[in-house]
Amino acid sequence: MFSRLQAARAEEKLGFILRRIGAIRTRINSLAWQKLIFGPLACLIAAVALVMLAAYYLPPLAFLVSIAVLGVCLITAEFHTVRTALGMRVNSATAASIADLRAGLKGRLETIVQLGGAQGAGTSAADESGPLWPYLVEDTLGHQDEFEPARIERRRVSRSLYGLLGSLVLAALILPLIARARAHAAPRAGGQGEVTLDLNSLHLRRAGPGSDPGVELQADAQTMRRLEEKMAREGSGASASNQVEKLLDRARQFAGNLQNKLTGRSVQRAPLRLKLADASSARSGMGKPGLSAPNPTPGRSENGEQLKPGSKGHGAAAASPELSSSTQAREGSADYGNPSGHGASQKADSGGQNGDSGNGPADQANGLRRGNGGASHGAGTAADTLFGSAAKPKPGSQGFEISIEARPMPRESKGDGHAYIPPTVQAPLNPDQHPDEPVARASVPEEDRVAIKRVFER
Amino acid sequence: MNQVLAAAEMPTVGDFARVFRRIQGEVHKAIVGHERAVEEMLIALFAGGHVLIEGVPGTGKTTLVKTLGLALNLSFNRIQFTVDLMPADITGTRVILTDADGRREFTFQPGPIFSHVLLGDEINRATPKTQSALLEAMAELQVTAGGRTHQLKPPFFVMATLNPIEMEGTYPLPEAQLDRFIFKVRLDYPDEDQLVRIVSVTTGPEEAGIVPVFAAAEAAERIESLKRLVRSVIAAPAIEQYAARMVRATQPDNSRFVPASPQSGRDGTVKHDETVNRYVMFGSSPRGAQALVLAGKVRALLDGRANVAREDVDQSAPAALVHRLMLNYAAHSDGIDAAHVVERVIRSVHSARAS
Repeated sequence: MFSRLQAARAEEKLGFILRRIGAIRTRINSLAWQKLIFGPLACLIAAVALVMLAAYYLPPLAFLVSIAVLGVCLITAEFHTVRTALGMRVNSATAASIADLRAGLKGRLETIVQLGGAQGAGTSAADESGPLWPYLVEDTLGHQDEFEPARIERRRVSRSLYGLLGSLVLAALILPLIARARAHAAPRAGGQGEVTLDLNSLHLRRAGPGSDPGVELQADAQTMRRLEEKMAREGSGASASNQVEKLLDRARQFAGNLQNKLTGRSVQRAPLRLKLADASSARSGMGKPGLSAPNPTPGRSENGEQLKPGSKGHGAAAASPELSSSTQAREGSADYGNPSGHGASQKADSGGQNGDSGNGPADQANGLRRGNGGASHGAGTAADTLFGSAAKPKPGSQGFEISIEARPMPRESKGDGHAYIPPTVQAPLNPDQHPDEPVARASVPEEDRVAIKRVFER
Repeated sequence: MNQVLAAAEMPTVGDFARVFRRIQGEVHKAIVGHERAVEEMLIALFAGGHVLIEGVPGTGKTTLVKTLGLALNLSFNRIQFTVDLMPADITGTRVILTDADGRREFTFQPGPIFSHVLLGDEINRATPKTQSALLEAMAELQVTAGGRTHQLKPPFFVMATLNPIEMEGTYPLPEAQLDRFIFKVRLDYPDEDQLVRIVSVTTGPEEAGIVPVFAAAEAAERIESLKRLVRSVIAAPAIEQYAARMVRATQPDNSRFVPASPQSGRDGTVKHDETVNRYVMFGSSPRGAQALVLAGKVRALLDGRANVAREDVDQSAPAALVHRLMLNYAAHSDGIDAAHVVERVIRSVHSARAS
């Protein structure tokens, strides 16, 4: 039997080895805990940054899809990271096994941990494990330099910290983009776009609750009536539209609300000005009976000048007196953003054309002129001065097209007492012209000269 | 007190490695090549087992065993198995002898099995009855003859040879009997360089000059003490579990004789490799696990360690498990041998541990 001194020394040596293995275990487990903390945090930060970026830059549906994808990726990454981190934790036996492998000790440490650490009270490992136990302990101590904790596991900081730093860098790169998007999200003072569309090429559908109400329509009375007919026609037909569109609308609204909450956007955008033209009536509607001269509309000054966008009085949502009652009723209930109505809020600006063109037919019918054309009005001037001087082009207007379609007027349409509404003139720009130049005067057709003289001579 | 005496008698770890290497050196004075086979035979000796040697004629099986006996300085006998060999020819029998007084009495005449090192040449030529007589002695270290039991003196080390050709008129050892051999060692046909050296060594005028490692009087006791030292080597529970998993991994999933494992691949338990399921009819018996651990202990001592490592078990697996697998017809038709299956088993156990 070993002496007490020998037994104490043996225990001390065993304790040294077990403490060293404990230190290795602590080191490995600390890396696991770091990964458990840094990994999910990095995933979360990166996901939040990307979501915010998407909220500012993507349209609603794309935003919704992107957050769904990011959500799935985040959950998967978190799960994988947590699982990996938890799997990295080790107990003493596993730590000893790792140390054996990395130090090339061929199971010495693992054997000592399993047998030396499991001994009962009052017994020694030598008694339990046989006569070679002291040899094993001494032999292992002889290799103590090889299983230093710093040699077995050199890292103190987990590599997942780099992932966290990377996600922070990503967030820092995204912040300026978000800041720029916030700056651009301020409401526009003016200059919103204008689009001219042919009514016949429009496809109308019932708007959902999330539709943007900010479209301002301008069209003449006939075009507005045709628009109403088209809306009634296509609205009833679209009532049976598929569920997918409704679902998409809801999704759009949900995504839009979410985006607004994330970005803090609450300002309504200025509505887009949409001018409707009816090519089919323009082809057949010269001098069409029944068209009354539209009154000056909101958005135009008393002398008929068209107000600049953004000026006072312009853009008011008042209904035009030229609108049919049904249209007025719809406007009275709500803007065209409610589920029962049609999609676009409308402002009837009857008689409106491209604002940068010459005088509208209404203006001419009422004798209103722009610019300084009034001086020659009604003075029995020659036909070549009938249209007066060219109106000043609207500042800031874009290029335009003018085409002229001339048709023979039926004889019976003359002298019926209704106001003459000249056809819409569209002429391409010649190489010597630029957009701000006034339109060249057109000569009065020969067959109309008599009638025109008669009108202006009254 | 007993432990002090035991420690004094017991050789040290360093002693074992020195003795082992010296025996190896002596054997290789007469044997050219076959380094791995010689090492495995010595491992089997010190692990307390017996060895089955397979090789074509002329590869040095008999010479190897005789040389080993000379190097160990132990008594050596050789039995040439033939089809007409009787069990009594191996174990001995009672004969009537006349003593000095003229009285006749039955006296037991020990057979060739009563030696320390026994070479059983072409064991597959003997009848099953004769084979079983040898195998009984191997397992129990005793012989029963004439109603009396005679103990065999340790160490008792049997090396049985198998001739893989000329299978006509042979009685293949049943798997249950093969299982009693700790290792199956294969002697391959020598390459050209080895053949040249064989010719040079064996046809020259000089003797090999084998020097016994032990003195005749103490050889048996020294070898027994070395065997006790082997048994003292420490095998951690994880190593025992590793050996058990490896043996279970040789059993196909659908084996009727082996209960299914409660786990299925998680926490390090082994999922049976498809090669095993496809080609193995019956895997290793529990003796295979014993062989792995014992052989692992010997290898640990050779490496100067007092503990068994997984590498020791892995290195012992081919020799310890190959002859314990019973392959099916699909393996024979696909040309799959047991060595290939054992290699796949080792890999599957490693991958399960890594996961």
